[in-house]
Amino acid sequence: MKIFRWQGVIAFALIGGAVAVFLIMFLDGIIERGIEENGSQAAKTQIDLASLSTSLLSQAATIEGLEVANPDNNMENVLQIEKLSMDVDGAKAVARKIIIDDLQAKGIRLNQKRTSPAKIIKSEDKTKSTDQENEDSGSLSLPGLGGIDIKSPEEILKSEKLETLEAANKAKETIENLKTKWQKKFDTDLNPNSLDETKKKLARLQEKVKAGDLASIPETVKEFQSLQKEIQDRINRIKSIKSEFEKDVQAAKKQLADLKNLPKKDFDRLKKKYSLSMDGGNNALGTLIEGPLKAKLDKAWKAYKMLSPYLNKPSTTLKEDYKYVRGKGANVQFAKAMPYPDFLLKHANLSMNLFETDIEGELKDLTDNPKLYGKPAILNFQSGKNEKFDSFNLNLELDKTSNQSKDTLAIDFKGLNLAGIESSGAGKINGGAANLKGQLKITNENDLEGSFKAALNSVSLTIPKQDGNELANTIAKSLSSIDRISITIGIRGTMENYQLDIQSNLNDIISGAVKKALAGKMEGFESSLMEAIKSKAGDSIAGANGSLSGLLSQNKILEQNQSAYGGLLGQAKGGASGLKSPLALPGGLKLPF
Amino acid sequence: MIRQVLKIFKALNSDEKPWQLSLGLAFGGIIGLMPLWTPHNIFLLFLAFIINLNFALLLVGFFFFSGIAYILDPLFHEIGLAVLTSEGMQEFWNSFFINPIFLFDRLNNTLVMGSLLFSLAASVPLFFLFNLFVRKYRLHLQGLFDKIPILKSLKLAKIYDTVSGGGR
Repeated sequence: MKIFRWQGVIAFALIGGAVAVFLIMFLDGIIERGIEENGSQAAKTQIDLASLSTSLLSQAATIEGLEVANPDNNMENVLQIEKLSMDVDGAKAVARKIIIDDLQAKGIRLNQKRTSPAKIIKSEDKTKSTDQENEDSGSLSLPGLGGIDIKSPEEILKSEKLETLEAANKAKETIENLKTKWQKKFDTDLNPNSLDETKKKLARLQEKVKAGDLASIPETVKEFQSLQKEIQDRINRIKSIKSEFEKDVQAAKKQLADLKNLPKKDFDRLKKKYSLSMDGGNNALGTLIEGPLKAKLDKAWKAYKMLSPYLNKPSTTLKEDYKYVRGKGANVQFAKAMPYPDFLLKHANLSMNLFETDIEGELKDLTDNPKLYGKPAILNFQSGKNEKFDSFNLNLELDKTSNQSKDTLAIDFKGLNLAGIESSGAGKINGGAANLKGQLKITNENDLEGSFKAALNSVSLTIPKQDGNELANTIAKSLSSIDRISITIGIRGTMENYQLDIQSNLNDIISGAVKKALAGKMEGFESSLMEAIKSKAGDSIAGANGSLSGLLSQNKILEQNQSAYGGLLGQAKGGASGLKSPLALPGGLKLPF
Repeated sequence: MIRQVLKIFKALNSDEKPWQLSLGLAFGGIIGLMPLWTPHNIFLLFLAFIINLNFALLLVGFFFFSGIAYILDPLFHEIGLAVLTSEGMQEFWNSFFINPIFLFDRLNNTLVMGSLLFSLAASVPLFFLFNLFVRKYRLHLQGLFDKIPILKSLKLAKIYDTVSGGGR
């Protein structure tokens, strides 16, 4: 039995040859489909290639008709490139490193319409973000307030709680509780039976005195003294109750006094909430510029965040960082053995179409592992004077070579011809020129700091009238009459939470227009709102006052009792003194009994 | 599935040497346990073509151990990760991977390295155990076909030719 079967070499060669022929014939198609499918999944948007051709001998590849769909609008391509040709380092490719020595990109266009809708790539958080962005598409438009409508006071009070009403009801309830409390107290402490009993005691003693029994005089005197003390105690008790009652009455009166200020407080709050602010100019500017700008910036941050992980791999990876993926494992890096990143684009010449004008640019040292490669990626576009603008200069530096990344975007756009620029809702610019200059720094891929200054000169605007939107039309009218606009925008914060500080001469223009439009509308609103508040809370306030009157009337009971006991005390004292005077001897002598 | 079982019987009852059968199964095991599209798998396939081993058992081994590989996937990752990130071996790996062929072979991948080491280690006992099994089978069980009536009746069936290798 032979160990080797040499005919197996022929069989293997035949199978291997067939596979090689298949690959040579279909390799381009396989790569093309691989880029389209895997690229679409990675970018979460459809990527199409018109054609792809590779040359293993010259280690080059050419892609034509690259289209990347806008994930938020499937009828738009966010990026289009007519032709991409690249020279790849074949030796490094053996080590699975994609090193592109030179790349030529021609016909780069941004935000172009698609001929057919792009497929929606499924992603969980995709639906959420799309919904959010649909709400605020970022298009520049005048404030859509749907006309200047103020709610009637009656409508306002239907949906609003009045502090006055609540406080009046509470005061009424408190006073009613006090009334009940004092009624109970009077019933127990000022029992009419005890007054009658005292009267009877006094009458009995008076009867004793009339009987003239000398033997019982000392005892009668003592009884009179005892009765006087009893009556005095009652009077003291009544005085104490009266003082306590007075405190409660004063507290109730204070509660009612506080009610007087509450309608004004309610009025001020509702006026602030429902009246059209005279500072509306600032809000309108916010709607006009800040809203659409934020929408666009949020999209830019989203794209930046999506790309960042691909452009900032760690140079060395700890054992714990190699995450297990079923069926794929993890590729362990050996930077000393092969000190090249997995992806590196050394140099690229770019040709971008902006405002129907070709702008030449250059991209250098773009890599997925800048810390390992040690150089920042630099993108630069420059153009001199042409029909559309005087000059254009854009510099982007992505420096992720250290642990603290510093990415900088600087733009200087001079003399952009604004004629013909149109925005749905905001109208059309008939003429004018714009200068834009600014810089944005992103530190640690999150912290933002930047400022941009735009100056629009000789501007001529045509803004269409909006039916039923009085405010928009007023602003449009004021904007149509200006010819110079300056806007300064400051950006500060983090990508999740950043503030835009927008300064513009539009503030004064729009603010004036809004004030004019609002003045008439506000007439009469304030007085009718105050009347409505008073009317709604009036019954409750009257009820609380009525309760206080009831409480005050209870004071009469105290007065009557105090007066009655006072009378009895007088009589008791009189009775006792009547007994003492006949028994007294001249010279102050006293009888021995 | 039945076809695969019949292939095993056919191989067992054929005239081939036990080492040919065992080596076929061991090669199938190695190729099946590792990720399919790696250059060293193609090299193993080349060896399988020129070594006079049983190709049917290679295919059986490949399909069977591909299923096992799915279950052992996390274990392979752990083995590969431990070996590739072992501090004591970093110097060796850095000199090893200077040669781009090994990176092309994806030996720096935890799954490839882990499954390669596991399958190479497992193939040796697999070879000898299966070799022993073939010998024992041929010594004690092959004669049963002639002795047991039910199995004897199988001789009438066409299938007997297949399993006994007589139909070759």
